[in-house]
Amino acid sequence: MARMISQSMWGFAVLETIHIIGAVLLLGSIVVLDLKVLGVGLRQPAARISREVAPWGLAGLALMVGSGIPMFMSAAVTYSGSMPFALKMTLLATAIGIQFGIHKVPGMYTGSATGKAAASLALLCWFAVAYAGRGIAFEVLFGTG
Amino acid sequence: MSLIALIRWLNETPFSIYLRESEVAFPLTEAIHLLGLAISVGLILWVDLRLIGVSMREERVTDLVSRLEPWAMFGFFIMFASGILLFLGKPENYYTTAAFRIKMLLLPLAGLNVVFFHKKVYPDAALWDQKPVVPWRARAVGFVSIGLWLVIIVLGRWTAYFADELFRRGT
Repeated sequence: MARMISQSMWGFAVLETIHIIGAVLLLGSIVVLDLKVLGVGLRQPAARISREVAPWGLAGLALMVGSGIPMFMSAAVTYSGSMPFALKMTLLATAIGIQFGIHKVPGMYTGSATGKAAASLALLCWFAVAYAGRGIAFEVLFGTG
Repeated sequence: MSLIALIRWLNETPFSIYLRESEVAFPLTEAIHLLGLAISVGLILWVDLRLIGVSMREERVTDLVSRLEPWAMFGFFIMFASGILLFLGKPENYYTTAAFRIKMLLLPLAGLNVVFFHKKVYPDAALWDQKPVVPWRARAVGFVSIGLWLVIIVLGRWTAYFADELFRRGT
């Protein structure tokens, strides 16, 4: 039993490392953009910042999905019964929706109150996703909820 | 008192015992430590990528540094505080983990890189901050920064596994 834990932990260690690096790229892109919409951080037009960070953010997303899928497939606990996983996926969908909305809805980038509220909500959502993600790891590896 | 004696003493303090036995303390602190990466490394990343010349090349280096560095510093403070709390939960486990010790050597190096940048490279930034290709010393700072943070992140994850009680009992 202990051997099973240590073996699955080795594989998870590599995948989690890639997952974290992907998260730094993705969240780093999002944070710098959302800070701008909130009126702090960079002063360049948000569209310009978005253009610059997008390739890196998408690369980060690719790393996260690329490492997330094998973790999903190799987990000892079925994800369908995992509350943190369901929570994370719901939050992820919400975060992507809000971030996409900020990007596409006209006027959001101009620093309006709505835009700032959306950016704050997006940041909260993304961090909630990450927090729930950590909860999954705890549940899968240690059998705690 | 020797260092190992201090570590062992810390390990048995009520605070240390509380941190590792509490169901909330460790997961919450670790989550904060991981999320803090987004606002520390995740923000300073843009300064480093600009210095090595692969992103934000239209932006002034001075702009990026002055606008992003304060936020990144706040992020690094969060990393420092949560890191200390994580350490205090199992000081003896971390102290005896090689990955952790190497990480503790590399972190001050990353700090020295920043000090070097501000003392020796940045002062004359007005001369080159608009150039897509910056002086070689500035580029070197960017490469060193990215390289160190990458290795530090990997070591951080390795520390989490090798310092863990369940893992140690299993191997």
